[in-house]
Amino acid sequence: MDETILDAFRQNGLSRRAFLKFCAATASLLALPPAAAAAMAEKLASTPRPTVIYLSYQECTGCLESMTRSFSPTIEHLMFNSISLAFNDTLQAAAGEAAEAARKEAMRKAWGKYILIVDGAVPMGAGGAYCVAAGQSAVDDLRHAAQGAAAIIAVGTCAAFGGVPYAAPNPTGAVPVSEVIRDRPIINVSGCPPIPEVMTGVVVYYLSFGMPALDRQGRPLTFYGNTIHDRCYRRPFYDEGRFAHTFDDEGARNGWCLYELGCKGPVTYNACATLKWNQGTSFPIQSGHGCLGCSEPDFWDKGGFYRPLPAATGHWPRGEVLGGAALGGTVVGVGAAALARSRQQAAAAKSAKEVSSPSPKEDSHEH
Amino acid sequence: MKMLDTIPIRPAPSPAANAPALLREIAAALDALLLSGRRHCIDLGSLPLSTADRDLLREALGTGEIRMELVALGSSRIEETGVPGVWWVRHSSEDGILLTESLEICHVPEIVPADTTDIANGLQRLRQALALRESGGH
Repeated sequence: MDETILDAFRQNGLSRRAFLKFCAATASLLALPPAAAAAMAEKLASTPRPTVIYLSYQECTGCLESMTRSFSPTIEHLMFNSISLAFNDTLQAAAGEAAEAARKEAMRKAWGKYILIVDGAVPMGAGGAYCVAAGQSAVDDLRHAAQGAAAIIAVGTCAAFGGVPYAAPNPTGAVPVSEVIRDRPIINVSGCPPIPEVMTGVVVYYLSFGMPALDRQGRPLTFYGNTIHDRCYRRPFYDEGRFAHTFDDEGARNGWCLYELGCKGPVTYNACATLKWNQGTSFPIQSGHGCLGCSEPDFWDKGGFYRPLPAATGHWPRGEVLGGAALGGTVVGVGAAALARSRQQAAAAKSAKEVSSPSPKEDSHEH
Repeated sequence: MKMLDTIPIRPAPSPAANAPALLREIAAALDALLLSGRRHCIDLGSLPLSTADRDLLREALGTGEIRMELVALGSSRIEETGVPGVWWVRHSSEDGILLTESLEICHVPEIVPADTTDIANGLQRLRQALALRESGGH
């Protein structure tokens, strides 16, 4: 039960070559130098299996669906053999009273040390009544669980930035995890859903090195350090000015750049263009559709997936969202939403001051 | 589905946009290897490489004299290119899924030589087998 990775290697009669290969594959996934991957493996070998509590609130279970389809066998091995997933109401067999009891026991045993994975936004409206399980509202549940957590990983755009529940007019008063919890380290792993290898990779990274370097949105730079555009195989067409203008024109058939069809690749930080999806098969742009920008805050309220970007620069400022909603005549619930958003803006400004954002790795393609 | 097949889709060949820069990086790494013995590794998986990029890399680097297959956690192919000191390394999983592909610039990739601990373990097993043989086992 306390078996470590290195033990597992030796017991399976595997050589140092197998270990080096494992390191190379992991380093490639995490964009780490091989030496760091070796250090990581050794750290994992000496660390007892940490308890992970996985809580789901306002979400669609897409993130968990994605996570359980992680294709990298080494990472999956790491995840499911090196952590102890103590509570996940979707994956576990126990239900009802038994499940709640098991969760309380797991949290009590690992109090102060467990990793809390949160999936979904937290509805604050009507005293939290929009999301209640076992007689406890999501917000109370999260506040309690966070007290005993060493760190929180906010998985998916809902947990990280509010996502779909947070979209205007936000009828449930949904907020991201970072708005409820202020006194614990939070790693945002955004995406709708996030890439499975990114989710497992972040957990593995945290177990080995602690907090990763984060961007100003609280996302690990390892996976969110580059835009989709910068790593897109269609980038050369953008540079040459060759674009698809409709989904059935010559440009679309020729596989030219989808910028004019509303691709959000230039302002979206994620690893889709390199890690890809479904066992490295493809990603939206490769399948002929522009990026929706699902790993960025407020991607639902950006005024249309097929509207071209006004200019390909930087992150979308949060202020635009409110302005856009007001101009569009979306007045229902704007008061509550505006309040929630101005609070979030204040929080974002505050955390931006606290966390000086390191510059993205320029040579991340090198080991 | 038959209808879909009738729509002509002809992906235009992407230009080789990144291969020329990669080849310069390789040249600089070979310089460093000659001068100071420093190894270098380029992870191809994290770069957007078009088919034309790959073709250009293959063409410029060519095929060398050594081709190895490593069988550990699935299969891996380690090939020296036509430029001595530049190795094309592909690691696959047990299911045959490509885990990582890289260009290593070094005399021999680190994964190739037998490790001291592995040698000692192998020697121990060999001695045990010999002892078993002498004691009348098989």
